Amino acid sequence: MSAMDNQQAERLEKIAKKQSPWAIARRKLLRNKLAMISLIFLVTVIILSFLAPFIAPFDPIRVDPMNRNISPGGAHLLGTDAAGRDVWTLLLYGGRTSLTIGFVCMALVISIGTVVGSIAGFYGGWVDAVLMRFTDFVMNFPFLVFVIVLASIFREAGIWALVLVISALGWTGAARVVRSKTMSEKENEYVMAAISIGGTPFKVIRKHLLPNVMTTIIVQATLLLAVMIVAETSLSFLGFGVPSGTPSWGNMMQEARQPHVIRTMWWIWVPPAMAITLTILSINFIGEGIKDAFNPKSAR
Amino acid sequence: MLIYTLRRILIMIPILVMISIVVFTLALAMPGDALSGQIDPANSNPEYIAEMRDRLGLNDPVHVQYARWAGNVLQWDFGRSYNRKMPVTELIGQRLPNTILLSVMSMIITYILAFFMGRYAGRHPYTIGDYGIQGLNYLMLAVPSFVAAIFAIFFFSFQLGWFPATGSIGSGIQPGTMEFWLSKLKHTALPALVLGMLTTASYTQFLRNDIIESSQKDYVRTARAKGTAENAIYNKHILRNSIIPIVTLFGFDIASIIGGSVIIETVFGFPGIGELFISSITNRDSSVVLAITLMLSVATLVGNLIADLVYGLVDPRIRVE
Repeated sequence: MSAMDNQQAERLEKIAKKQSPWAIARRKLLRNKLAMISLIFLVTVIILSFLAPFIAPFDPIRVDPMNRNISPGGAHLLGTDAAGRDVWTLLLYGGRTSLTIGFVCMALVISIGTVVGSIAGFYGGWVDAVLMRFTDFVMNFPFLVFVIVLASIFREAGIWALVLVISALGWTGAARVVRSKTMSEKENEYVMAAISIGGTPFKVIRKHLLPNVMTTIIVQATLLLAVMIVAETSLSFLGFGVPSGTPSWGNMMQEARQPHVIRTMWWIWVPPAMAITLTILSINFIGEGIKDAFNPKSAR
Repeated sequence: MLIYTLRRILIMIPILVMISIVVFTLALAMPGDALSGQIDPANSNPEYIAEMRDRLGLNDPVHVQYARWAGNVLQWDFGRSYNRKMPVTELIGQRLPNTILLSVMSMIITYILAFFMGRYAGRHPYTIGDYGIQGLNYLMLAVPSFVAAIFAIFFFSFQLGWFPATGSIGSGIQPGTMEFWLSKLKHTALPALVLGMLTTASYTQFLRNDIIESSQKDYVRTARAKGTAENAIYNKHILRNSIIPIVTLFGFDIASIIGGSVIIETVFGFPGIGELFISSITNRDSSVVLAITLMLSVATLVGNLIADLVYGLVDPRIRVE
């Protein structure tokens, strides 16, 4: 009797576990090998980058004219660049800069996008019209061109101005996605019930709509992280991003604007190029994995 | 459709005006001003500078300056370049053909590659070939264009020597000859290939998924049941239906090519609009920056318009609203 009760309790527990969409998604994600390998890789890159001050063998800023353009091996694991700085050290510190900017921009962009999108989607009518016309308007500016113009205006203001400029122009796609998801979610009865018992719009959005739009936001945020890292590295590469004294993956690539560096000194540009590409690739795989995990139609 | 098109074009006019105001404001805020391009640099007498400043109207209120600039722009006068000592329209006129050639070539390469890869992957899904193409797609989506450009220069220009690494024309070649055009195409091929990479990946993926989806549909089953050859089913029945949605993406290409060309032209030292934009910003040549920013914004706007119009053409539900 008691054995059967136990069995039944176990089964019930299993069913209860199965019913949480977050648990299902987590299990699906854990079983996705590509996404898991990517996640492990990304976490490793993040940890190494943020431990840079402790594990980097050299000073990332000090110029050493005696040791310029040394090829890999010996004391300098990945060689040195044209200013005699250790490439491995720069790679670690550069990762810290590029990843920080990527994460902060992503957080800002997804916050602006969520606020604008959920308000427009929830209220509809003229609020929606005004906000979406504004979004369309910002969308009409060619992103890179305007970021470069703004970055050249605020050049003196440093990294945080860059972050704000990228975020101010990058939120439109997220706002559109969140809006359309909010609009379709709003039609459900539970939202009407929440409104009819007197929930304020703020509370309905925060407590009822956002948790259900969250999956979309998470997927969007992952993909945006990749986009933002590409934006920072591209801008730094062109000379309009992070100030040239600060190590960043884009700044490291800047040396490869000279043909003789591309031709003969591969150790200067291949490490940051690989770091950027593999990081973006792993973020994209994680994003795909999360999207797949939240998709009830997918079989895995 | 005609009314929808006219309405969409009319809506563009106020947006254009607002964009021009934003662009003008940014140009005012940029370091360096239009004055430096207009005066004799040898004469540093403050009285002369003040007089020129006044005569050129740089002391007028901002809205008066804007109205004058907008009036000139409508008459196709964008002022003079400070660094290159020539009218901005002439300067852009020299560079524009190169950028247009680059864009058109990149689109052609994109369409051809995406067509063949998408068709193959869609017809043979979940095979080694399909996984290979998918892997390539993921890579093309992940590599930032400047990284891809540098790898392309390293392998194709330096290691293999197939394509030149920089410029848009070989030295000492007379314009107008056959050799001139061949040299031009050879110089444009590599940047065009890199520029088209991102779009190639998304088109291939799009076509593949559409073909796979279509192959499950009833009309395909009917064709199979009637004994139509597999080749005919894929090439005639499915492909015709799967190509249409891709056409609608054309408008968005314009926006992605604009951003891409700024980076690609700079890496390859390709003398087009994007390279001119970057060098003008670096040299604080504000009249050129102003003209190019406005031009690229208008191009993006037109691209979005084309995307909407084509979409309305393909899907009539969009036109009602």
